[in-house]
Amino acid sequence: MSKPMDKVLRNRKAALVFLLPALLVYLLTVLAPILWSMYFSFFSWDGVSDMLYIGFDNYTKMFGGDKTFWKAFSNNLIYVSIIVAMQVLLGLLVAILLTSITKGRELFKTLFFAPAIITSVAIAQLFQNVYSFEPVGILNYCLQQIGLGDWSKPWLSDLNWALTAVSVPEGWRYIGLYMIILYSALISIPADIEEAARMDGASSWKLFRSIKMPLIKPVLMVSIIMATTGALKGFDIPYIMTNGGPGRVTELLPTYMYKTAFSSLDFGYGSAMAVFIVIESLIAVAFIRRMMDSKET
Amino acid sequence: MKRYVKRLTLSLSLVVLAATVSACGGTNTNKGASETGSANPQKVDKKTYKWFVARGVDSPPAVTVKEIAEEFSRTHPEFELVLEGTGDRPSYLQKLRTLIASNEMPAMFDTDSDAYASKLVEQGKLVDMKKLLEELGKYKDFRPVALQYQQFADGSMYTFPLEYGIEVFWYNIKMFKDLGLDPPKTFDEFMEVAEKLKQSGVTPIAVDGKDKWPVLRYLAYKPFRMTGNDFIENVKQGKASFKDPAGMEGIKFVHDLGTKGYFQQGFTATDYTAARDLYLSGKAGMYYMGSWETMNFVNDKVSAEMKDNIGFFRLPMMEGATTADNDYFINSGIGVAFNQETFDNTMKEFVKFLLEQYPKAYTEKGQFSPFNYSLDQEQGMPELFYKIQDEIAKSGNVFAVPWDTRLDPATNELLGNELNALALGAHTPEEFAELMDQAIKENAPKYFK
Repeated sequence: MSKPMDKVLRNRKAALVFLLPALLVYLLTVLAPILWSMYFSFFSWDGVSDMLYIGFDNYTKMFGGDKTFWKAFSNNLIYVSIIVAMQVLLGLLVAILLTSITKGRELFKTLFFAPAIITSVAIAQLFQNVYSFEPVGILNYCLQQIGLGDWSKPWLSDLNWALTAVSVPEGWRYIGLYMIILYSALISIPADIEEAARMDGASSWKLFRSIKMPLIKPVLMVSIIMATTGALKGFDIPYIMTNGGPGRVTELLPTYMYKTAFSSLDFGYGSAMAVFIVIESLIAVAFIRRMMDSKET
Repeated sequence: MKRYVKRLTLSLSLVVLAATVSACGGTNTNKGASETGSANPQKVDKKTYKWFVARGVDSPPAVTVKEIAEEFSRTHPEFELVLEGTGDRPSYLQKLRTLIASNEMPAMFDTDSDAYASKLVEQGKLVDMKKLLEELGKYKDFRPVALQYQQFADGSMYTFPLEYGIEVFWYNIKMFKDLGLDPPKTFDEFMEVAEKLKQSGVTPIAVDGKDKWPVLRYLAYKPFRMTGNDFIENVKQGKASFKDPAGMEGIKFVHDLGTKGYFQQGFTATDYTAARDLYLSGKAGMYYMGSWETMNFVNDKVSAEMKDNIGFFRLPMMEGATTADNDYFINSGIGVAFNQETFDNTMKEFVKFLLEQYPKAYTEKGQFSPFNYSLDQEQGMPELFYKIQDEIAKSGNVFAVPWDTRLDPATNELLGNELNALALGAHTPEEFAELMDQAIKENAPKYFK
């Protein structure tokens, strides 16, 4: 590194100055909307008439009488667990398998990563065709071919299966992303540690459980946090595929929030939900950190 | 440390300042532009008017208007009409309402005469269309029903129509013949036909459940036959209950159709074109849709076998019906409203020009126009076109209003969602009625006083 550059980087004041523009953008695009939402959440407003201050009424309604809100909340929890399980567990599994092969590793990596760069609309369309019943989609076709024709059903219209059906595409889509992150963590473990353990007679499972796992734990934690917060704000794929329906079985908090604000024209109540989603995400992050840290002791 | 805190507060206040300045700047330039636009009419500045279209920019009405606007620009070089559209109704409405909430109402936009539009009227944001049409001497050129459809309950009118359509049940003639079925005249016969079709292994009815309004129509048939539009006009304000006979008949009808499997499996995830394709591929016996689809049933993409197999019948009757069999869903489509703020002389002249050119240009595209204008046999349109044209001439003056143009937005949102669930058997009819009454009790007072 050149001398002057080095000097600038060491100068804390200079660093602060250079951090300012990014901070400004961040404040304007993230913090300001959150504050605005909080402000709106104290009003009853339909976007046309005058805004009417109603204090905490929106929050009372949300926590008190709104069954749909709690339905969306519990749906959201199921959605999060399916997605985190798929993304982190399957991602980890694929990453481990990748470390043990040498041939075609790049090909596998590319193939697994590909869905992550496809837009949500395309993925939603793709899975709509997969789940389709009439005309018959791939999933139902395969079920019929392997003799499980009784299991075939219109997945997105089935009251019991629709939520799972809309969760899977989002999970599937980012398996590759978490695979790459976890794979990088796994290969950054120094080879000599592994060799030493092997010499002491550690089995592959033991090696993974007692050596690799603790070493990649920080990365694993970041992955879980990313997957969880990503799923908490899940919106596009469920919205495109089922629009929260049939009934409310695939309604998530973000889709309910969006529809409340922009279809039902209750901007105040929608904002209250937005505030709830922010707080919920912060709690989730704190919770995950707590859990992961306590394991260490 | 203190110094940093000071700087932090300083930078934060800068942020706030920047935000307010940019916000004010935004409104200022907007105002400035429109003021110079109207203050110096002699200056040939290009004036761009945006039309926010709900039907997709390639739909026949949009294409026709676009063509006429281009022709108009030749004599009025300052005029330019820009179309922006989306065919998917829920997202169209969301976009439009967000634009309006942020004070960016387009110069022209599509809207039904619904509860939301009446709020806009209350705020003085829309041009009085009745007054304008009378001033231009065009009021009488329209079919009476076409204009009635655009009116609010009090008879005032703030949108004008570009389409005209009757809604019928299209059916597969060959399929019916093979099974010895006649087009049903009553709802009882309708259910029998559906049952026979199902037993012969085909889907009785293809329906687009994703857009919600087509299923909503099924809920409205029986109440319309029983009470005309009285039931919806009363129930939307909570003056009637969904537990009344008219409401329960409608609810039970949808519940039966769904739970007996008369709609195609997975209909809640089927969209508009997929439902139509299901019917056009001969996999479904019946399909309810407006006459705007006529040309899609006779174009080259339809298989020759299917082309001559498309028949239609009217909304069935029932015992104790108060509406005649030629009264059914007749409408003039989503209307066009004009922004009062941007409505100037150029725009007015354009509207006049449009109304003169539109009937001919539009009908020749194989469409039915809201004007008193029809094509004779020599024009060489397909046979189905003339059949529908005759049917339109025979239709009555009482027409069913679509419920989604009458209910308040929040109830409408809920109804669309839960109706699909009702058809899947997630609610009993009684539960559904209770749910709807609750929603109306909660939401209607904000819109109907």
